[in-house]
Amino acid sequence: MSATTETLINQYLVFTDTNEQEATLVVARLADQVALKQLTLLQFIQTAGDYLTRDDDAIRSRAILCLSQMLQTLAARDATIFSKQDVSVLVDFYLSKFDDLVSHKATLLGLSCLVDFTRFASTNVAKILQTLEKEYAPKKNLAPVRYLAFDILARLLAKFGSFIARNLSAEFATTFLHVASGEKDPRNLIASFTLQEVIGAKLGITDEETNNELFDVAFCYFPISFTPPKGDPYKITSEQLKTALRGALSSNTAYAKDAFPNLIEKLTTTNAKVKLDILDTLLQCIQAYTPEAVQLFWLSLWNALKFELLHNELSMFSAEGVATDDDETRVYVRMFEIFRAMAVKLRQCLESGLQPYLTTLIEELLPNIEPEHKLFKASMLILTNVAEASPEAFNYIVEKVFVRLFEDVNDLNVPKQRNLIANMGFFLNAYANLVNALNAGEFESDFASNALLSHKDNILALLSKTLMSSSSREATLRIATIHQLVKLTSLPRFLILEETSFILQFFNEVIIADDAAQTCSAIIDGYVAISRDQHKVQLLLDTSFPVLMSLLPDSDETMSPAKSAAEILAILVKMSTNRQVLEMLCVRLLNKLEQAIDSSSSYAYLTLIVDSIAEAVFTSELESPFLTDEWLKNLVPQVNALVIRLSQSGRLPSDECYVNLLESVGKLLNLIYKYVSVEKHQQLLDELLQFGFQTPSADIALFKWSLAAIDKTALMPNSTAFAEQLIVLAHASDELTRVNYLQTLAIVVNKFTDSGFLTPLFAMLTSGVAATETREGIQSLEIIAWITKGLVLKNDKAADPFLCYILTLLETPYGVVGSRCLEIVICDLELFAKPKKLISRVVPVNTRLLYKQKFFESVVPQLVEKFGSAQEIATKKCYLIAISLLLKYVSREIILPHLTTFLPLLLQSISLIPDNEIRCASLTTISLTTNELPELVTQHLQTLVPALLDLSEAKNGNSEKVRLEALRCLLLLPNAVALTKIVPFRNSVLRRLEVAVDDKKRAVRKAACDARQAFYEIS
Amino acid sequence: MIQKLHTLLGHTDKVWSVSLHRTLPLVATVSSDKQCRVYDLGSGQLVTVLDDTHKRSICSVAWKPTSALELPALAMGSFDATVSIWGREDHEDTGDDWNLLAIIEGHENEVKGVCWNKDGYLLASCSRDKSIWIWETDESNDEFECISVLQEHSQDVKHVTWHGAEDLLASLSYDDTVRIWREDDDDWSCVAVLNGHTGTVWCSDFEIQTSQTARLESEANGEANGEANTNGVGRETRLVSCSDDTTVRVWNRVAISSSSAFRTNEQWEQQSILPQIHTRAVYSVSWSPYSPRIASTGSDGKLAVYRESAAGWVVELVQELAHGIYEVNSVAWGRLGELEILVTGGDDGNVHVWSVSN
Amino acid sequence: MSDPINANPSILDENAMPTRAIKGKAPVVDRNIQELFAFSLLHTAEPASGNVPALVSDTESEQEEEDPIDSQEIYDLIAHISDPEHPLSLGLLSVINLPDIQVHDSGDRNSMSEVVIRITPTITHCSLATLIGLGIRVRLDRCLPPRFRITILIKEGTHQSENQVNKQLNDKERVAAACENDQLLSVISQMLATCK
Repeated sequence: MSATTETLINQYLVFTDTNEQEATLVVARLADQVALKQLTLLQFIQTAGDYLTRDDDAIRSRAILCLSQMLQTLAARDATIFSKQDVSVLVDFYLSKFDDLVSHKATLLGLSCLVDFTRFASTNVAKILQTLEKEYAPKKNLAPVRYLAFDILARLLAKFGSFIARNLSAEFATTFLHVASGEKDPRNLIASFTLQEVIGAKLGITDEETNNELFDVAFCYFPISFTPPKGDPYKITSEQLKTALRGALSSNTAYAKDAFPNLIEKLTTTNAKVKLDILDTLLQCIQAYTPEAVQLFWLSLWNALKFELLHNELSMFSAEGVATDDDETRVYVRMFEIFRAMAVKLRQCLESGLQPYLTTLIEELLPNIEPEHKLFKASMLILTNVAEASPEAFNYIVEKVFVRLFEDVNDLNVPKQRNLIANMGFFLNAYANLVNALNAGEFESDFASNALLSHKDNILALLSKTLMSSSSREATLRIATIHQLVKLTSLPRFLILEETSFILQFFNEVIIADDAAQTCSAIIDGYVAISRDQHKVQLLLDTSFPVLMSLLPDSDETMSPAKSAAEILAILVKMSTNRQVLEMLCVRLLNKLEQAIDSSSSYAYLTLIVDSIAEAVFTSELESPFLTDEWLKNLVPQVNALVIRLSQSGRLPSDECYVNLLESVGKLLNLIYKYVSVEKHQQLLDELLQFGFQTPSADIALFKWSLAAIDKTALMPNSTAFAEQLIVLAHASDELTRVNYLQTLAIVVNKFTDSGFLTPLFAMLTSGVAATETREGIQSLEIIAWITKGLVLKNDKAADPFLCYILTLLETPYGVVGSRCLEIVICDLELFAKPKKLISRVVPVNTRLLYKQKFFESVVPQLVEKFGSAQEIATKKCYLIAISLLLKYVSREIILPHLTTFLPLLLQSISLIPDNEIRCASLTTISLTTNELPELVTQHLQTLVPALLDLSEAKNGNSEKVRLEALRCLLLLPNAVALTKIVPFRNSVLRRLEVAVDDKKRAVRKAACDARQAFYEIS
Repeated sequence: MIQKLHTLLGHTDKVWSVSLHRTLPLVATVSSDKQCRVYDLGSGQLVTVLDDTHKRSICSVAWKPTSALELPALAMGSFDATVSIWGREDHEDTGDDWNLLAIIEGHENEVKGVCWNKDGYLLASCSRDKSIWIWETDESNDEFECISVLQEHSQDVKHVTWHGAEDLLASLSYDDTVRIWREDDDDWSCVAVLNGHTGTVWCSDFEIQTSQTARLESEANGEANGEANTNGVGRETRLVSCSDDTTVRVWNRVAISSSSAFRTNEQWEQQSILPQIHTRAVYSVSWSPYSPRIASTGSDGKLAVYRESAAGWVVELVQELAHGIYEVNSVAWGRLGELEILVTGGDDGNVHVWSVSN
Repeated sequence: MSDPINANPSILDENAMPTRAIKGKAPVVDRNIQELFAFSLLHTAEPASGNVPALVSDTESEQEEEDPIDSQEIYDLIAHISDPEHPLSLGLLSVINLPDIQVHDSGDRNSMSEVVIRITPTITHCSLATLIGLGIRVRLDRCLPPRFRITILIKEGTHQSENQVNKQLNDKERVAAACENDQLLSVISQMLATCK
C-alpha cells in the first residue's frame, strides 16, 4: 500500500462539492490502484477506516462517497474484479449505514453500483429489499437521493427479474410501494412509472390487495398536467410523464377493474388536451389488457363515448379525409380508434366476445342510417371505423347497413342523395384500409367474398344513376358522386376491368355534356388517378382517349357542338401525365395535325394543336422528367415533315398567323431538344447548321427556337461570320422575320461567339445613327439592343460601351427608342429563360445568376438622378418610361433600395405623364412600395392620395386599366398605413370616390366600392 | 318665374332644415355635420357657425320670433336627444357674438322637431319617443321650464308647428296622423285628429293671417263671394301638410265646440289636396306669409309652388332637380326687401336662395 | 345569443348563385405575334419627328362602351352580405334573389335613378328583417352613386308585419339615425365584411 492511497483519500476529503472534477480524478486514481491490484479492498477500508466511521458527519459522508464513487468507476471498468464475498461484505457495510442519514446519498450510490458487479449474488437482493423497506425514509431525502433508491430497484429487477418473480415478488412490490409513495419530482416519477410498468408486466403479481395498491400509487397522479420549469437540467416534458404513466397503468391486466371505471369517470372533463390523454390511456389499456378484461368493460366504454360523438357535427370528417388537426379532431379520431381496438381485442376472446359488441352497435346505430337523419354521419363514421377491425366485423356491419341504405334508394331527393353518397364513401375507405392490412393469404381465406362485393352492383347502380340523371346545376352532388366512382376504381381487388371501363364511359359522357368547370376537373382528376395504375392505363387509352380524340374536328368547320376543340385539347393534356398516355397523345395529335393541314383548316386550329402537344410534354416533364433522346428519331422528323408539308400547301410566309404557328412549332422543338441528353447536343447543332441561310425565310423561327435549346458548351464553327450573315439577312427581311433574325443573333452572341468581333461592329453600327431619328438609325439601334442583350445575359464586359451608348440616347430625339432598347436588353423572354437543373444536364443559356442585379444596380441610379435633374418634360418622360419599364422586369429585392429616392420623384411628376402604359407602370411601383415600404408611402400621402384620386377618374384620358390600378392602390392604404395617418384623408376620399363609383366600366365601379368600403371601416 | 339668387356653401353633409328669421334678414341651416350655420340672407355672407355642442346630427332649427329690436335667438333639436338654445349677445367690450344659452334635456331619443309659438314664450319639441314637450321661457332664454308633455301619438313624432296668431299647435307623426293641440285652463290637450294621409306626415305649416287679407283683397277686385271680414274672427284657420304618400293637403277648421265643461274640441276637415306634382315622399312644405302660395319639396328633388285662385289651388311653377340629383329636405318662404324668396336645403349639403316673382 | 330564430334554413348550392357570364377572353392564339411585335422597334416608332408614341387623347376614355348598372351588379354587391344569425350569405339563404331586384337607371348622370329590392325573410316572423334591410341599404349607399334612390321592401306575403317593416326600412330619418348608432354600425360592418 503506497502512501499515495492515504494522500489520495485525504485530498478527496478536502475537496468539497465545488471542485467536482478534481474529486473524480482522485477517485479514478484510486480505482486504478485497485484495478491494478496495487491496492486491495481491505487495505482501502483500513486506510479510510476511521474516516468511514468518524462521527464528524462531513468527513464520514465524504469518505463513504469516495468509496461509492470508486466502486462506480470500477464497476464500469471491470465488473469481475470483486469476489462474491467482497461484494456481499460491501453490501452489508452499506446496509449497516442506513441509520446515518447524512451519508444516505453515498450509501444508495454504493449499493446501486454493487448490483452491477458480476458476482453480486441473488442472496443480497432480499437483504437490500428488506433494508430499503424498513430503514430507508424517502420523505427525509432530497429528490436526487430518492432517485437512487428507484435506481437500485430498477437494477435489481433488470438483473434478477425472473428470480424475484419466482421468490420475492411480494417483497419487491411492498418495497417499491414504500419507495414510490408520495413522490413528487418529475424525474423520479418517470423512474417510478417505468419501474411499475416492468413490475406489472413481469412479476405477475396476482395478489389483489397488492395490485390495488400498485394501481392507486400510479393512478393518483392521473391525469398529469406538468409545465416544465425553466432551466430543468433533465428537460423532462409533460408528454414523457404522460407516456410513462400510461405504460404503468396498462402494464397489468389486473388493473383493468380499477382502470376502466376510473378513466371513464374522468371523461366528463371539457379540456380537450386532458380528454385526449384519457382516451390515449384507454386505448393503450384496451390494447394491453387481456381480451377477457376488455370483454367486461366494452359496454360501459361504448356508453361513455358514444354521446359525445353522436351529438357533434363532425364537420371536419369527410370521405376525402380529415380537414383539420386540432385537439378537438384528435379526440374524435382517438374515440374511433378505441371502438376499433375493442373490436380487434374482442375477436380474440375464447367465446363470442365480438358478436355482442357488434349487435349492440348495430341495434343502437341502425335507426340513424337514413340520409336525412341528424346522426347519420356520426353513426356511419363509428360503424366504418369498427368495420375496419376485421373481416368478420366488416361483413357483419356492411350486411346490416347496406340493406337499410339501399331500401328506398330510388326516391331520394337531391340533398338526401348528396348525404348518402358523401357518407357511403366512409365504407369504401374502410374496405381499402382493411384489404391493405390483410396479406394475400388472409384475403383469400376470409375476405375473398366480402359483403361489400355482394353490394357492388347496388353501389355502382346508385352512383352511375345519380351521376347520369342529376342536372349539371347540382355540381356539388355530381362531384361527390365522381369522387366515389374514382375511389371504387382504386379499391384493391374490387372492380373488374370491365366495370372500370363502364365508369370511364360515364365520365366521357358527362365531361362532354357538363359545362360546370369544377365537375369537369373532378372527372379529369379521375382520369389522371386511373392513368397512374399501370393495369388500367390501357383501359383509359382504349375507352376515354379515343372518344375525346374523335371529338377533335379535322378542321375548323366541323367543330363539335358541345365542347370546343380548345376545351377537348385541355382535357386531353391534363389527363396525359402518365408517360405512356403522353406518347400516345403526341402521336395521335400529330396525325390530327396532318389531317388538319390537308383539310386546310385555319392556322389558329393548327397552332392550338401544336401548343397542346407542347403543354402536355411540359407538364409531364415537370411532374416526372424523362429524356427525349428517342423522340429525335420519330417525333421530331414527323414535326419537321409537317412543317414542310405546310410550306408546300401554298401558305404565304408573310401571313402573321403562319409566323405565329412557326413560333409555336419552334417552342415545341425547343422543349424537346432541352431534354435530349447533353452529349448529343454538338451533333444536334451541326445538323441544325445545315439549315439554309442564303435568303431570308420565316422558317428562321424554327432554327431560332432550336438553337436556343442547344447546350452552351456546344461549339459553332466560324460563328462570327454566321453572326454577320444574320445581320445581312435581318436587313433584307420583313419586320417580324427581322426580329427573329436579331433574336437568333442575340443567342449566337450569348453562347457561341467571343466578344472580339464586336468592337469594329459597334463602330460601324453607331456611325449609322444620324442626329435625327431615321429608319436606318433605328435599325442600327435595334441590332445594338439585341447584341447588348446577348452580352448582358452573360455579364460580359464588352456590353459596357453598348449600354452607355443606349443610355445617352435618352436625351436625344431617339429618347423613346432608347428606352425601348433598354427594355429589349432587360426583358424576360422565354427564349432566354434559364430552366432549373434539367435531367439532360443541358444548360441552354449562358447567363450569370446575378446579371439582372448587376445591370440594375449600374443603370437605375443614373436614370433616377437624370430623371430628377432633367428639365423638359419630354426628356423627363423618357427617363420615367425607362425606369418604369425596368421596374416591370426586376424582382422586388433589387428595386426596394432605390424606391426611397425614386418614389418622391415619381409622385411629383405622376400627373405629367401623358401615356397610360407609363401611368400603369408607375401605379405598379406605388402598389409595390405600399406593400413593401409602407412607412415610405406614409410620408408622401399628401401627394399620393390626391394623385390616386385623379387617376381613378375617367378624365385626362385615364384608361380603364389605369383607373382600376389607382383604385387598387387606394384599397391597400387603410391597412398598410397607420390609422392615425390615414384617418385625415377618410372623408375627402369617400366623397371623391363618388365619381369612380359612377364610372362607365363595371370593374372600375367594383374597385371603387371595395376602396370605399375599406375607408368607411376606418373608425 | 323662379331664379336662384345665391348658394350658401359650407355644410359637409346633408342639410336637414332651414329657418328664416321673421324680421331680420337671417337664415339658419342645420346638418348631419353637427353644425348650425347662420347666413345673412341679402349678401349670402356667413354670419356665424354654432357647433361643438351636439354629438349627433342636428335635424331641426327655428328662429325665436323676436322683433327687429330684440337680439335674435334660435332653438335646434338633435338626434342626441337634446335641444340647444343660442342667441346673440352684445357685450360692450367684445362686441356681439353668438353663444350657447341653454341645453334642454328630457327626450329619451332623437329629437325631430322644434318650434316657437307666436310670441316666443313657448317652445315645442317632439321626438321619436312619441312625445311632445312644451317649454316656457322668458326673454333671457336661459331658463326653460316644461309645462306639459303630450303623449297621444302612437309613433315617432316628426314635426311640430305653431299657428302664427293663436296658441294652436299642430304635430305630425309616423302614425300618419296630424294632431291639433290647444291650451285649456293651463292644461294642453288634443282638440282634433286629422286623418287622411296614408304615409308618414313629414311637415306642416299654418296659413298666416296677412296672406289671407291679401287673398281677400285680390278677390275684392274680382267678385268676392264671402263678405270681407278683416277682424280675423270669422276668418278661416288653415293648415297645409305633406307626407310620405306624396300628397300635399290643406286642412281647415270648420268649428270650435266646447260641449263639455272641460274640453273644447275642434272640427277640422280636409279642404283640398293640392295638384299631384311629387312622385316620391314630400319632406317639407311652407305657406307664404306674403302671398296666397304654398311651396313643397321632397325626395324627388322637385320644388313646387302652388297658388290659390278662385277656382282652387293651381300649380304656379315646378323647379326640377332643385338640388341636382340629391333629395331636398327643407323649404321656407321669406322676403328680401320687396322680393319674395324661397330657401331650400338638400342632401348635397347646399342651401339655395331662390327669388320667386309674384 | 338567444337560440337562433331560424335554426335550419334551406341552403342553396354555392355554384347555383347567379353569376355574370364572363365575356370570351381574347384568343390566345396569336400571343406569339404580339410578343414579336412588342420588341420590334420599327413596328411602332414612326420615323417622323420623335413625338411621343400613342399620345393619349382625352376622347379615349369616352370611346369605352358603357356597362349599364343592372340587377346582376346589384345582386353581386349584396348577395355576399352575411346573415346576422348564420355564417351564411343572404344569397345562399335565398333572402336575396336576382329576379327580386329592379333597376331603373337611364344612365344619365344628372337625373335620379332608382333601385327596388324585395327581400324574402327566411321565416315569416323574422325580427332580423329590419337589420338585414339596413345592412343592404348601408352597403348600397356606400357602393352606388348618390343619384340612386334605394327602396327596400319585404316580398309580398313573406312576412307577418310586412307594411310595418317596409315603412321602417324606407324612413330616411330613422335610417340616418340608425347609421349613427355605433353598436348597430359594428353589427353591420361584420355583415359587410364577407362581401367579395
